[in-house]
Amino acid sequence: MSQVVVVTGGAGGIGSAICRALAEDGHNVVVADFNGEGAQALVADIGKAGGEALAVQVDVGDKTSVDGMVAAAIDRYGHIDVQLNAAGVIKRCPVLEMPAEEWERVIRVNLTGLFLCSQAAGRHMAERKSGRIINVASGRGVTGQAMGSHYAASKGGVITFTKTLAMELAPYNVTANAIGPGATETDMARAGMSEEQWTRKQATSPLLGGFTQKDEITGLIRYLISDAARYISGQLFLLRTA
Amino acid sequence: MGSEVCAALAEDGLRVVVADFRKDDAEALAARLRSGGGEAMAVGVDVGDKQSVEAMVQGAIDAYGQLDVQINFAGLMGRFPIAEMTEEEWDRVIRVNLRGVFLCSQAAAAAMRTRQGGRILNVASGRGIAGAPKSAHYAASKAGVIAFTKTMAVEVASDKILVNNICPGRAETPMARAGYTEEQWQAILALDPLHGGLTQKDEITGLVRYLVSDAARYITGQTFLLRTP
Repeated sequence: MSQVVVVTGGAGGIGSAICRALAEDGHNVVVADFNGEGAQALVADIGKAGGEALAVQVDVGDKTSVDGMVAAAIDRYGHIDVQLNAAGVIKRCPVLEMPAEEWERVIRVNLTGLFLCSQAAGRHMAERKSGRIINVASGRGVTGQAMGSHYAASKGGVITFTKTLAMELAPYNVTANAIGPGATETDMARAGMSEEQWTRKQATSPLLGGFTQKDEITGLIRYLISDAARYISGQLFLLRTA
Repeated sequence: MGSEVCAALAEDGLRVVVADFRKDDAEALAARLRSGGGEAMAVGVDVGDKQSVEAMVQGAIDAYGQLDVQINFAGLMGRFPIAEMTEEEWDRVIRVNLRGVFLCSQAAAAAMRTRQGGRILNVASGRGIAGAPKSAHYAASKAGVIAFTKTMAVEVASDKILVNNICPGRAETPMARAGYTEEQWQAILALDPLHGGLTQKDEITGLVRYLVSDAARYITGQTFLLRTP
């Protein structure tokens, strides 16, 4: 059955793969991204392939902007079935040298942004007594990450936020789950790794510590929005050992 | 749970070996799957016995030429506080739930190694993380399954064999039902699945279908929980 899916970070490395896959499955996809041109380009691509999608420029850290994104999705498709929060940023920076501004920048997008998007979509879903929220966390939120303390802290926050959200939204028949894809070959992951780490990942088989393939992530998302997953809530699905 | 998974996978066109300690039940299920147009065979097995387990794997290979997926569902539990638990009861549960998973995984992986590929799914439990009052042996066995699975995943990754855990939560099965009064069980049945109620069987088959799919070809050493322990 066709669903309405909003994907933040929808034009990004992981988000765009998800948008393409879900549009291919016949879902109505809202490609929400800070990079509005990137979102429009992807929507045009999806349209050429016969899919249905809408581009929305959004700053997930800004409540007014997030409310606008949810309203745009509802205006176009009538409702939202799935809110998929994939927007995220990272930059390599040791704790001892981290400016407060850099810390704030990552927490704002990865954690506060995910809260605002979950809240806005969650209110709409609670009213309809139906919906699923899927948050992209990371195994780094469990283990920590050298040179990425702000990223690790934001993702750790996403995990516990998601578990809490699941408890609070269960009475409304709305589920919330987190996924931890593992390092994927994207510009964002590239920004979080040293040259050496990146080269080694590229040379390693996925089973022995190499990159997560994008169709692994879309496969997990397809499962999590399927009927079989209708009662799963508050869980963290890791595709790689943290 | 095992029978539901067998039925779902046979429906999907996979060839299913129904292996159970109760061979008559396995025969009956395999016959039912065949009459529904599926391909299935039955094997009697004692998962705690190495010879019996090896015969099960050999039986699968003799019949179908290969073994792609080994799903270890066999499990027991009992309800006894630790203070009253006999050694025999402890050993009975550990033997099937933990030693059985070890033996079945070991034998299956040996067959999979020659083909450089295969998947093993071990049914663990959130109880292996949270503990289980009056079922310490069950909880300990399932914690053991989780750690065993993570270890084995690392050991066999170079042979392209994947090993994962699934933790279904409580489903409507005789094993879960045991130890409850009728009144208690009815109260559990009445709960909504999102509020502590039972895991539905199609949730479990959905997860298994995902984990045997192409999208899951690199996932290994993970523990998939369908409910919060």
